[in-house]
Amino acid sequence: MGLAAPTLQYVEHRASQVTAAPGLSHLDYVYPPLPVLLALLLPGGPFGLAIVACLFSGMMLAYLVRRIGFSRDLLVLLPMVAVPAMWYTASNLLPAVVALTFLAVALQGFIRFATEGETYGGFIAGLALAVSYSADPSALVYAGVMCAAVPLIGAARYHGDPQAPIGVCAVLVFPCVAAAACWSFLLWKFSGNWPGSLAYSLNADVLGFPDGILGGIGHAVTATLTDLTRSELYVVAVVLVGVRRRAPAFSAALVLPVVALALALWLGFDYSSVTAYFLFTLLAVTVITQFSLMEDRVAWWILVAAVVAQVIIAIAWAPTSPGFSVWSHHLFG
Amino acid sequence: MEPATRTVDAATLGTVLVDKGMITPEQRDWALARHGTTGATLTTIVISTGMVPRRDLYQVLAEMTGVPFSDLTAEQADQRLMARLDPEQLIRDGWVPVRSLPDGSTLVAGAHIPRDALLTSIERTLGAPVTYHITTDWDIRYALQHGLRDIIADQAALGLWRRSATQSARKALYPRQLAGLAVALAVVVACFVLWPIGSLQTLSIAVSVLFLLFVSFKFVVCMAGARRERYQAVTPEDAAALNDEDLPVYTVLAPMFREAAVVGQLVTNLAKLDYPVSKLDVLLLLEEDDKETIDAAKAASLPAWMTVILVPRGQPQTKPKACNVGLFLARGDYLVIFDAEDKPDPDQLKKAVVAFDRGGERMVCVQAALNYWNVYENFLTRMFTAEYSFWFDYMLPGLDALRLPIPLGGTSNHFRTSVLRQLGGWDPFNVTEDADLGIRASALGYTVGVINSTTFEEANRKFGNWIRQRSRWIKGYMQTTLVHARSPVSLLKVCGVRQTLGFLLLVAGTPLSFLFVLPLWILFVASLLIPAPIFAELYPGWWLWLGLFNLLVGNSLMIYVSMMGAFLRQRYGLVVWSLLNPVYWLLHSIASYKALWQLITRPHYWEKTTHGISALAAQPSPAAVTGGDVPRPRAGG
Repeated sequence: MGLAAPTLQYVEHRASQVTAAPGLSHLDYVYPPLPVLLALLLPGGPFGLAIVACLFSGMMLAYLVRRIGFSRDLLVLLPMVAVPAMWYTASNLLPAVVALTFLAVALQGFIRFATEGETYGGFIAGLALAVSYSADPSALVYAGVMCAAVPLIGAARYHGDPQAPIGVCAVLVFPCVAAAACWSFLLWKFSGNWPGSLAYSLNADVLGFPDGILGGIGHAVTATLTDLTRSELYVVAVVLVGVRRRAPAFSAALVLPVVALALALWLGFDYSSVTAYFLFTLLAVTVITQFSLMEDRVAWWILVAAVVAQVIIAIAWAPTSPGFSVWSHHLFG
Repeated sequence: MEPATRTVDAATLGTVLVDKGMITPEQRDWALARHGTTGATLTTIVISTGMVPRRDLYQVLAEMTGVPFSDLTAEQADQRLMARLDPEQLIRDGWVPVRSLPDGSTLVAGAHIPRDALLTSIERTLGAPVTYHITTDWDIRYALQHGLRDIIADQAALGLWRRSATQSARKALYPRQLAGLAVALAVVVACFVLWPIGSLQTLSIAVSVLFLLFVSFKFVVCMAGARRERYQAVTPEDAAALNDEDLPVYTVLAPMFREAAVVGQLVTNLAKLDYPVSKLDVLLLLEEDDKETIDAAKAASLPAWMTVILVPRGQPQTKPKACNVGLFLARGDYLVIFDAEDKPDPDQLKKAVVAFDRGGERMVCVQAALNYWNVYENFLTRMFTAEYSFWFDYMLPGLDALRLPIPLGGTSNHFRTSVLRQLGGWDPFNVTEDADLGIRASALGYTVGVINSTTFEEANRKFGNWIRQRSRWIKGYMQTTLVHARSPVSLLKVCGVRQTLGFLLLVAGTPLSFLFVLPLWILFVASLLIPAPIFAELYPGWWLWLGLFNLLVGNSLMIYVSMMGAFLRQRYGLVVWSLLNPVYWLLHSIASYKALWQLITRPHYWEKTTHGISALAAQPSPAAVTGGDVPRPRAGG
C-alpha cells in the first residue's frame, strides 16, 4: 500500500514474526515493545503505523504549542514543522517519534522535579522515560544524562543532603530500569534470547563497536558535532540561558545531551541524523519556554535569526537515510 | 425555683481571687486579657492554665453567689433521675440532678452561675421545682460517668449495632453472605475436582489480573494526589488568621491501654498544640482495669485541661469502644483522636477548624497526615515510613481529589461532634473502626477531607509487633468490606457507581492484593526452579507470561510510589530502600493470612500494638519545634 518506510516495514515484520509461530518462542521479536504491540493490535500494516506516528507527532506538537501559547513565539517551532526531514520523521519513524514525544514530556517533568523539587514532575519524568524506553532503548542513556544533570541544575535545592542525589537518580531512573529489567526477564524467560533483544531496533548494533572501541568514539563524536551544525537553535538557546538568564550551571547541564548522543552512538543505539535533529530542536524549544527566553527582546531577535538559519540549513540538508531519499524522491521528484 | 438570680462578672471574680491571694494582680490582668481575646470564661481560663485549683475556684463562685457548693464525689447523684434525661443535654448544659428533696423539688448541681433562663430550662426538663447548688464541671462529668456507667458502657459497645445492625461488624457474616461464600467455595472446589489444571490456571490468572488491577488503582489515585502536592487545603496563614475568640471548644480523645510509659510524652505533645487551653477538652480514656496506666496518669500530675475518663470494663475491649465513651462525654463542637505517642503539628486543630468552615455542613471529618519520627531505626521503620508517606501524602489526597471514599487513618481524624453522634460513633466490633467510619460517612452522603498537617508517631520496629498490628488492620479492612457489601444494591444506589467501585478497589482490594502476593511469588519462584517443559503442562506460555508480567509490573508500580512518597518528605535516604518494597509486601501477605484466619476464628479480637518500644528518643517533629502558645503565667497566689 503506497510507500512504506523501512522502519515501519521492520516493525510490521516483527509483529508478523510473533504471530507466525505458536507459543512464546518468538517473544523476543517484540522489540521495541510499544511499536510492535501497536503493529499487532492495529489494522492497516505500515499505513496504520504511519497514521499512529502522525498522531504521536501531532500530540507532541500540541504539547509544545500549549507550553508556548498562541503567540508569535510559535516561531521557534518552525525548525520542526517547516523542514522535510521532520515531515519524514513525523510520519515514518514511529519508534523515534514515540520515544521523543515521551522524552519531551520527561524533560518538562525533569526540569520541574530537579529545580523546583516538584515530585509530580519526577513521576512524570520517570514514567515518560519508561514509555520512551519501550519505543527506543536509548531512553536509558537519557535517564542517565538527567541524573548527571541534577547536580548542575538542582545543586542549590539539594545542597547539604548527601542522600539527595541518590534519591533523585533513583526516582528518575527506576521506571526505565524496571521496564528494561522486567521486559528483559520476560524475554529471557520465554525465548531464552535476552541479550539480542536490545539490538533488535532496525539500525542498532548495541555494544557491537564495528569500528573498534576507540575508533567508535571518534566516529560518534564526529557524527554528533555534525548534527550540532544543523541545530543552531539549540546552540543559541544554551548560550542564552548562560548569558541572558545567568544560569551557567543550567547551560552546562544542557551540554550533557550532546555527550549523551555521542555516547548512544558509540554504544551502538539506533540514532540517525534525523532523530538527532529532532532531539536537539525539541531540547531547544523546551529550554526556550522554560526560561521564557522569547520575552527578552535581545534574545528574541537572536533566536529568530537562529530559527531562520536552522530552517534554511535543514531544508537544504538531504539526510543520507535511504528511507528518506526514497520518500523525498516520491514526494518532490 | 430559687428566687435569686446572681451574676458574677469576670472583673469582680478576678478581684476576689486576688483579694483571697489565689492569684497575683498580674495573673488577673493576663487572664482578663485572655478572656477578652478568646471569649472563654475567666473560670475556664484560670483553671485550665493551672492558676487556681478547680474545686477552690468553684467554691469561691459559690461563696460569691451565695449558692451552696456540692461535692459530687462525696454525694452520688441519683442514677434513676439521670437515666430519665438526655445525657447529651446534661453535658452540654453542665448540670446533673442529684436527688429529690422532701419539699418536692429536685436538687440540681451545675457548673454555671444560676440565672433565670438556666433554672427555667432545668425545671422544664425535670418537670419539677429546682434547688440549685454549684459544683465543678469535673464533678458533673464524674457524676455522669458514674451515674450513667451502665448506659455509657452499653451505648459505647452496642449503640451502633442497636440503631443499625447492618452497619456493625458485630456479626461478621450475614446468612446470605455466608450462603454466597459457601456456594462460591463449593463451585471452586467442584471445578478443581472436575478440571484441576484448567481451574488452577483460571484461578491464577484471575489472581494476577486482580492484583494488577488493585495496584494500578492505587497508582492512579497516587498520581491524582501527586498532582495536588503544591495545593494546600489550609495554609499556615489561614490558621494564624483565626481569632481565639471565634475558636470552638475542641475535644481531644486520647485512648490509652497499657501505655503507662508514654503518659508523660502525651502531655508534653498535647501541650504544644497551638490552641487556647481554655477551649480544649482533653479526655484521657483509660480502661478501668488498666491499673498500671491509671497509676501513671495519677503520678503524672496531669494539667487541669486534661480529664481522665475510665472506660467501663466489658467486651469488646477495643479502642473504638473507649472512643465512644469519650464521644458520649465530649463537650467540644469538634473532636479529634490522638494516640498516646502522637506528636501533631501545633496548628493542626486550627487548620481543621478552617477546613470544616470551608467544607460545609456535609463535611463530617478531616484527616491529617501521619508520619514517623523514628524513621531510620531498622528495615521495618524505614519501610513503614515510606509506606505512610505515600499513603497519607498521595493516596488520601488522591482519593479526596477524585471524590472517592476515604478510609480514615488510625489517629488525627477530626470530626464534627454532632454529626459523629448522628453517625453512631465508632463500631467497637470493627478492628479498623476508623476506616469503617470513613466509608460509612461516605455511604451516607457525608464528605471526608484531608488537611495538610502531619502527626508524627512512633513506627513499629519489632517484627512480631508489626505483624500483629498489620494483621489487625487487614482484618479490619476485611470486616469493613463485609459490612458495607451486605447490601450491594443499596450501596450502589446511595453512593453511585464511582464511589462503590472506589470502595471495592481500595477497601476490598487492599487485603486481597496482600493475599495474592504470596501465591504470585510462589508461581514466580516455581517458574524459575521447575524445568520449563514440566511447568508448561501446568501453565501454558501466555498464562504464565501474564502472571509474571502482572507481578513484575505491579511490584514496580508500588516501589515507585513508595519512592516518591519518601522523596516528597525529603527523606532521600529512604528512596533506595523502597526497592525492598516487594519484601515488605511479602510481610503484608503473611499478615493478611493471619488476618484471614482471625477473621474466621476471632473476628472481634483486638491485636494490641505495643508502643514506646523505639530505641531512639522521640525527636521533635519538624513542624512542632516552635511549640504551642499554651499560656504559662508564673505560679503565684
